[in-house]
Amino acid sequence: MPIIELNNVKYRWPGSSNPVIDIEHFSIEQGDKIFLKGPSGTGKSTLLGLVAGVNLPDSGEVKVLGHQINSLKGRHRDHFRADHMGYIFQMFNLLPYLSVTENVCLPCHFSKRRRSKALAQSATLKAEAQRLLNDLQLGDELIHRPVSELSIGQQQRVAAARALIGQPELIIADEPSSALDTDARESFINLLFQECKRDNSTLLFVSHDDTLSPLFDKQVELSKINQTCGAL
Amino acid sequence: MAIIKLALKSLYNRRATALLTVFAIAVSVSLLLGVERVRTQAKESFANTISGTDLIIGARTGPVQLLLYSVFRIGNATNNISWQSYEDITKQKSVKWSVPLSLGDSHRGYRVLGTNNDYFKYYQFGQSQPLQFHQGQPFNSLFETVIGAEVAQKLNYTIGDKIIIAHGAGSTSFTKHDQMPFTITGILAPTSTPVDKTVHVSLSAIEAIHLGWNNGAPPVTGSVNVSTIDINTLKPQVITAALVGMTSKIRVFQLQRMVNQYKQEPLQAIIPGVALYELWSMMGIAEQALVVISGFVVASGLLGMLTMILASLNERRREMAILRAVGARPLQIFMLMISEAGILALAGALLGIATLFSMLAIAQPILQEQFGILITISLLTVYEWQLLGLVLISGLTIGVVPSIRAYRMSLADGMTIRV
Ligand SMILES: Nc1ncnc2c1ncn2[C@@H]1O[C@H](COP(=O)(O)OP(=O)(O)O)[C@@H](O)[C@H]1O
Ligand SMILES: [Mg+2]
Repeated sequence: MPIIELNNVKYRWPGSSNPVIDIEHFSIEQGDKIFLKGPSGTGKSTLLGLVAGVNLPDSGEVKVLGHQINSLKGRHRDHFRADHMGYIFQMFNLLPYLSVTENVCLPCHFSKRRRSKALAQSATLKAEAQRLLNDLQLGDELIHRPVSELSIGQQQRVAAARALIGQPELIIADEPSSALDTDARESFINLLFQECKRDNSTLLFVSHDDTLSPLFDKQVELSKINQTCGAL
Repeated sequence: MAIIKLALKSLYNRRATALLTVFAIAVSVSLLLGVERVRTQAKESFANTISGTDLIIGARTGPVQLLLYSVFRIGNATNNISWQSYEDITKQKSVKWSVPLSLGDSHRGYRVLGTNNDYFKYYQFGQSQPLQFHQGQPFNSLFETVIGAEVAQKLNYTIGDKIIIAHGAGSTSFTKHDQMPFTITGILAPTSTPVDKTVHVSLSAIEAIHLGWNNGAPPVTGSVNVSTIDINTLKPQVITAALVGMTSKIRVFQLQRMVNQYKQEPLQAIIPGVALYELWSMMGIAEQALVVISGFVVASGLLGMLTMILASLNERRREMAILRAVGARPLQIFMLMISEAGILALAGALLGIATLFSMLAIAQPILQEQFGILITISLLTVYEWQLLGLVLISGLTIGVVPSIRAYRMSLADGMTIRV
């Protein structure tokens, strides 16, 4: 069973005349590490919003883990996302008013499932957050700093730990490495791979940077699946 | 609640602006409560000044004016009552007791009241409390005086001290009647009324200190020999006002009518409660203006909060998207913003209460000293709690505005943060 399956999905931003997304069929198998590429402005983030259930398609169906999430009620979609998905943004992923570990533990406050899974790994949420941060090569000394004092690379690793805590089935990363320099980029991706493999999570990684694409199992070009891309 | 914790941490992160907002609300809340408290307590304090007196009789002015100068020692009498009329009126059967009052002199800024020892017997304040002597006893002879608690305390007087009384009400009167010192025989217990600020002497003493005065001109030095003054010849000619107690309440109106229609001279009789009520209605507009102003100050404090939250909203779009990504519902985003408004308003209200009590502690002695208004520092009344509740509800209601915007933004932005 594919973890993500889109059928005849059309999406148009409110107020815009042309649809950004028009996908006849697209699916991802569980455990895959997918590289989704495409120039910026072509609708990659919009597609992720549809997969995450934050935006609803105008028509068609979006299935995640076999659930047709576009027919779920808003509340259940939010819950579903909290339970099954970890999300990493391009940058500024962290809430500036929370500590590093509080940022990592955030999903556990919105999902009982991820909280209990995290607590199955470590005695406390904080310990689990620290374990993940250490795995992502953030030392204890850095963990106690205010988030604003971390470098962008360090912040992205904290964001990765937050996406990973409680082992969600699907990790969605929206250009998470674009703000990093080349060395940091590769080590970040390798750490992410290592954690996803450990938890058997599926990784949907979005980037406009082709140089990263060989690191992944599969590459998907948005323009190949999205019929509107030619028009833009 | 995770959301409230987030709100608290987020506010702590912006504590400089948050604190300013809280201060603005606190100042407005303490103003609102302070105005309310001084207003009600001033009334109470006024109402507590006189009790048990059925009628006040004086020259025909306005009821409020008579009340103010006879009881509160505010302002001066323009006319007097002749002693003859006083005796004539108070010899009625329905009159249970009466006390003559003669004002117009002062001692170092404190008013001097000429009266007789019935004053100490019949004058009542608060809930029918009679005057009590802290030390000593009533005056028995011409040059004796009984002073109020504040006079004794402020001027550091004790029983046996000799004081000099001046003509006129100023503290630096040029025309001091300095030939005739008075001996203090009694000090009254505090009453929190103008009695505390009064120097009491006999009516004969008032006559004595004006002996030899001619149309306001002081006597030629040596023309009056104190030792030769004969008490019996010192019959008062005029008094300023009189307090009257009646045998029955029904008779009050009868006597009032009689006084108001008195042929020999224009007089009036007022019922203290009625005159007080008239005073309140005169002050009503000013009072309401104060309440309205403090209401507006609260509104501006809360609008300051609205400005602060709205201003922060755009830079917090990313924060909303992050929260949505980790599974927060749009409703929870709404709750986050509303709780921030609620926390600010609540903190403002609490700090406002603290400010109120410290302000009251500072203002209490000043109000008592300057205006004779006693403010008791008591717990918040039901009405004050209701006002606070109103402030909180208004805060939350105002908080709905940015919360709805945040809610809409979090729906519209989705996962694409466009800053
Ligand atoms: N929140 C939004 N509201 C309206 N239009 C949007 C919004 N986010 C993105 N778009 C529009 O959708 C198109 C695709 O944007 P996006 O999905 O962010 O592209 P990408 O992630 O590939 O750079 C763009 O034309 C953009 O202007
Ligand atoms: Mg994008």
